[in-house]
Amino acid sequence: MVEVENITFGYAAGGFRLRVPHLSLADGERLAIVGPSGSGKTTLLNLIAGILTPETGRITVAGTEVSALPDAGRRRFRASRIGFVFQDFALLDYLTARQNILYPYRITPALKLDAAARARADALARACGIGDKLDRHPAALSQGEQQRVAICRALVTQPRLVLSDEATGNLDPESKARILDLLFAQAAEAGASVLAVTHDHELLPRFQRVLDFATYREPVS
Amino acid sequence: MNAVYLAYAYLRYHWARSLVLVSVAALILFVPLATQILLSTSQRALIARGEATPLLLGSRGSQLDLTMAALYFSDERPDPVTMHEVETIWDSGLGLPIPLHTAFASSGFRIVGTTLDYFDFRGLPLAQGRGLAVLGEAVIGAEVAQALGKGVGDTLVSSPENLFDLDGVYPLEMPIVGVLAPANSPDDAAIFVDIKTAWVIQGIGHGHEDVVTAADIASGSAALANAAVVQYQRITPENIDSFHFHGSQDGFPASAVIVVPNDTRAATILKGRYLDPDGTSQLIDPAEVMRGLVDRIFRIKTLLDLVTAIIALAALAAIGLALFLSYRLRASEIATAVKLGARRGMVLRLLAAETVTLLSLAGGIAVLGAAVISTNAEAWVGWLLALGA
Repeated sequence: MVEVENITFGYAAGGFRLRVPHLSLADGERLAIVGPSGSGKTTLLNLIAGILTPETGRITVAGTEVSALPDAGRRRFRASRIGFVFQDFALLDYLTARQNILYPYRITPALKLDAAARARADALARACGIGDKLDRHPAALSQGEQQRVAICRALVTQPRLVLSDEATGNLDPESKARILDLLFAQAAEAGASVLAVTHDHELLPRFQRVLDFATYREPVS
Repeated sequence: MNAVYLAYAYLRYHWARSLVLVSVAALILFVPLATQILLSTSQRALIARGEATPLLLGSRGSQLDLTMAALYFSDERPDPVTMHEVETIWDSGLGLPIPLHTAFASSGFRIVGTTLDYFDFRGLPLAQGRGLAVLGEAVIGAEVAQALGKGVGDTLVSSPENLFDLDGVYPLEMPIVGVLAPANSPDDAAIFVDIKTAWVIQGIGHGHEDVVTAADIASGSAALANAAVVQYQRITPENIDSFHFHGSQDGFPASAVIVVPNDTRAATILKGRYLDPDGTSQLIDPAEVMRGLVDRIFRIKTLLDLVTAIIALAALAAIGLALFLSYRLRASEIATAVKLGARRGMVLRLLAAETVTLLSLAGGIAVLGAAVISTNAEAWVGWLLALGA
C-alpha cells in the first residue's frame, strides 16, 4: 500500500531534517508511529499525503508515485485515495454532522456528491453510533461524537489509506480505545490501511506494527 | 455552487455576525441613496411650488420671507400690503390677484384667508363637504383633518396671536364645511377661510348686539355702547347680518398677493411697475427666490456628501477589518480544506462567495429601502416642508 524509499525533507525555516530510508505498509495493515515531539511524525504524514514534497526519494501509495505527481494531481489523489483524522477533529462549526461528513465532496471537483455518497455517509454514521445526531452541529456533540464524525468524514470517500494524526489525543482514556477500535473496524470494512501517529503507548498493542520515529530524525546540519 | 452552499451555511449559522455586517453595509449604501432621493425630491418640490406661482406681491423687504409666507404659510410675518394693491392689479386688467392673509393660526396650523380663486389656481379638490360659501366657514387641509381628527361638521377656534392679545380680538369659532384631498404640499397643513373671515379674526370686522334698538329710537333714549355689549364669537345665520367692517376695505391687510398675469407681456409690464426701490411694495418671481434657496441648500449638500463619504469609508474599513479577522479566524478551516484536497482557489471562492452574499443582501436591502423612500418621497418631503414652515 505505502512504500517510502530514501526520502529526505527539510523546512525552509530550518529546525530539522527528516530522513526515512525505508518504510512500507501492507494493504489493510495498521501501523503506529511513535516518537518525541518534533521528530517529524506529522511531517511524514504530510509527505505521504502529498501535502509536502520530499527533496529526494520516492513515495508510492496504492501504486501511484505521489512524490512525482504535480500539485493538481496530488490534490486529486489526496481527495480520492486518502482519509484524514485530526487530533482537533477539524470539524466546521457551521455545518451539521452530516454536512461535515460530506464536506470533502463540497470542496473538490475530484469527488462527486451523489445519492451513493449520501447513503454511505448515513451508513457510516449509523455504524459509528451517531446516526441519530446527523442534523446536529459540532457544538451540540460530545468530543467522542465529534471524533466519530471526523472518522466518518475520513472514510466516506472510500480511501485506500487513512492517516490519523493524534486522533485520540483530545479524548478521555475510556473513549480513546473505543474510538480507535471504531476507526480500525471501519477502515477494515472499507479495506483501507491505517497509519497513525500517537503518543498513547497503552494503545500500541492494538496496532499490528509500531515504528519508533526517533531514529529517523537527523540533527540540524 | 458548493462555495455558495458553504457560504450560505456559514452566514446562517453565524447569523448575528452576518446580521450586523449586512445591516452596517446596507446602511452605508442606503443613507447616501436615501439622502440623494430626498434631496432631489425636495429640490423638485421647492422649485415646483415656486414655478407654479407666477408672481408674488408683498411689502418691500426679504423676498425669501415673503415667498415662504405665501407659498409655505411659514411663521415669517412680512409686513402686510393693503387691499388697495389688490384692487390696483384688478383695475390694471393685466392679471388675477389672489390675496392671502396668513397672520393667524388654530391648534398649531396656519389659518389662510384667501378667495375662492386660490382653490382653482392650486387645483385643490375637496375630499369631503363643500367649498367656502359663507363668512366664518373653514375648509381644512388633509393633514389638519388627520392630525386634529376633525371633519365636516366639527369646529375650529382661532388662537390669540400672543399671550397679551386679550383686549378685543375674540377667538372666532369656525365650522368646518370641507376637507381637501391630500396634495403633498403645504396646503395639506393649512386652514382656509375667506379673507373677510381672517379680518374678523383680526378684529377689523365684527358682529355684536344692536347698540341702538327701534325702541330706543322711539323713546328718544341715547345709544349706549360699552363692554356689556355681547360680541359674537361664532358667525351664525342668526347673527351674520350684524357682522360689519369699520373703515374702507382698501386699507385692510393681506400678507401677500399671488398675481397670475394674463400673459408674458402682462407679467413684464406688472414687474416694471414695482421696480421703484423707494416703493412700499415689491413684485417678485418666487421661482427665482426658490432656486436661489435651493442653490444655497445644495452647496451645503456638497459638504454633507463629503461627510457621508468619510463615514462610509470608515464603515467600509470596519467591515473590511471584520471580514479580514473572520478569514484569519478560519485559517484552520482553510488548512483542513487544503489537506482534504481543496485547491486554494476553492477556499478563496468560498470566502468570496460569503463576501458577495453579504454585500448582495446589503445591496438588496439598501435598494429596497431606496425604493420605499422613492415611492413615498413626495409625501414625506411635502410633510417635511410643511413641518419646516
